[in-house]
Amino acid sequence: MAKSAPKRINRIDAMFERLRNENRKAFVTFTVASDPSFDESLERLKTFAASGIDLIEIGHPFSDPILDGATIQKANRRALAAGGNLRRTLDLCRAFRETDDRTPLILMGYSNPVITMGYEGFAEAAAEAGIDGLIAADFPLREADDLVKALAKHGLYMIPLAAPTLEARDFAVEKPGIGGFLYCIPVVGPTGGPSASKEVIAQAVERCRRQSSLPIMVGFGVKTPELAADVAKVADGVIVATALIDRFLEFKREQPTDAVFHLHVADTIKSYRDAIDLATLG
Amino acid sequence: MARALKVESRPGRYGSFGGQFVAPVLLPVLDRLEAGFRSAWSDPAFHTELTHLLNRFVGRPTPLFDIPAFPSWSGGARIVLKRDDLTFNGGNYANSAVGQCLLARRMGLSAVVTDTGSGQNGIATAAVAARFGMRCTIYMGARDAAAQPQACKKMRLFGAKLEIVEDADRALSSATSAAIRHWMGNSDTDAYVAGAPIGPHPYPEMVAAFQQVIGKETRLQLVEGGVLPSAVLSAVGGGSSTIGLFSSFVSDPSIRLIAVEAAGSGEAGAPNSARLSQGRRGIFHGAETLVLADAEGQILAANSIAPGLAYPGSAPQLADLVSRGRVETMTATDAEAQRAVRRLAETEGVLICLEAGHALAAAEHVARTMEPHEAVVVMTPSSGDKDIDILWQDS
Repeated sequence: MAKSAPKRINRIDAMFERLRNENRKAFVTFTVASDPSFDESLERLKTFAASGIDLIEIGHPFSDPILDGATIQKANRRALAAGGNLRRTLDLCRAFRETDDRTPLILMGYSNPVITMGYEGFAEAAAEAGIDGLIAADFPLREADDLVKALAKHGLYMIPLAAPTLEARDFAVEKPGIGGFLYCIPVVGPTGGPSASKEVIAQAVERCRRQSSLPIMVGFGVKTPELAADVAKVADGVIVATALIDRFLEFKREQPTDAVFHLHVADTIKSYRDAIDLATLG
Repeated sequence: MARALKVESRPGRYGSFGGQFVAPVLLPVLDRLEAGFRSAWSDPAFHTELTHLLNRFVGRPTPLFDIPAFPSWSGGARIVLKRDDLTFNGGNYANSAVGQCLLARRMGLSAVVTDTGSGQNGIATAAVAARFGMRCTIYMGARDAAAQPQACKKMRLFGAKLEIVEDADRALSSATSAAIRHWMGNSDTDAYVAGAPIGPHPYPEMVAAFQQVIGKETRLQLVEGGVLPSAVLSAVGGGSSTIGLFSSFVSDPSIRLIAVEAAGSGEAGAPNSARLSQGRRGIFHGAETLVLADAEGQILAANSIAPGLAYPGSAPQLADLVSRGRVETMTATDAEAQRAVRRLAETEGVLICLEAGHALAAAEHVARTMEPHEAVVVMTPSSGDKDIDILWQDS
């Protein structure tokens, strides 16, 4: 344990404890902060939490999202055009926390804005904004000693990314500041790529379980409610990102009123939520 | 290996710069590459084949050239050009393309993927891949491709699959991103060929090792001519020729090493490519290094009349050498570079690229203040043929 252990339980740990007691699996989505605007982003976070999302990954916009596919690249560009950046993303999380102190928020994105803010300054500001963890697309654990120390000091987790080709030393590292869950990537490639079969996913999760005691969530290539349900049978949670962003963009094309749009969003979330719950509660 | 150039605090680090800031899924690929490179580099048979290819296929060694008619002043140091524009496809990229393709083949890979800005790295890689019978995919920004139609045709003539990238800046930066995404999905069969000593470890070390031949030749040629230079200048794009040339002089503190950066139009506040002198510490394209970025850490578009210099990142080794004060920086504007290239063409009958024009413009300032017995070396990484439309516009 860290000498200066955080006073409160991290919301991610609290979430998994609650879900375990309810015999349910976590359902997670991702949105880029300020895509398409700060205000609409805030509304979406609230709609997500109200419709059955357990944990939200919030992308902080970056000019060069090199590891993302076209959908998330474009989301980053819209967000930057709307004035988004790491600081505004922290503002967004702070605003969300005014009405929701339970849903864990995880920042997701690229390292350059983080190193520019400074690891200590970043960790302090993120904790103050109500953020619980960090997923850094281009910041492997072998480079992250200083960042992880800063996160630990402020009660945040760095979420390790695991892939079938990765050696245990690159994801199954036990250290204060590393935790929350293991983000299992069953297919290698940028976001929004092809789906893995449920057998491949099950094997990837099984391998993660052998190496780590953290809860395991699966992301990358989870597109349909059916695949989400299959994933929920073997993992502790499911992350659906690109597929939902694409769906929401389709709704937008019909130029709905805000109320109708958020109804669409809520319905879509619920269809995945129901599929996941049916597969795991039954 | 370039021992003098390597001041590593830990593997893959140059001082506090470098590292492996990549998606974790790439780590096993990088680890394999590092092991493959170390094994090849310590194998005399690999060096024999590499040297043979550099001499017989690339056309090395390239000459050192005096340009006595170029100076518009009297007195001052002699300026000599290192003519890597005289290799088989007119550029120094062939050095590392040959090395990396040879390594890929040795590691059992059947294809290569790379990115190109000015077209030079793409052409070199495509040619080497053709020679080795390897599949070759090249990503190029749409803006760059439109500006370099001849280069596009040449890559296709060598059998490469050219992918035009419409993303973001439609230039080198987005081409690099696209090539890395391709590599992530195909690392079982494809090697990523880096044009410059940038990116995650082991790329900076590997590309530097393959480009060292420039510095070794230059030093030998100078010694044979009975001179040691007072200053060595190179324009910095990705840094492949700069690192290659500097590697043989870095441990000689009496020799000034000058990295010349593109100042763009030179107007205050206008976009430039001066990240070594004006950049911030950041993480970009796989390494901690000096980058052009705003206060929020967003990468800024680089600008220069020389396409090969317009890159917002920098080689981690150069970032370290500049931070430690071993390498000085100077800048040259678009107009200064053009003037230098044109005057060299008019006075010496040699057409060098606009990138080298930046170094030559800076060399004028340096050489003027020196004594006639001194010498200044200027790197010429490629020919000016690609820049003819910029240099000569029919009125």
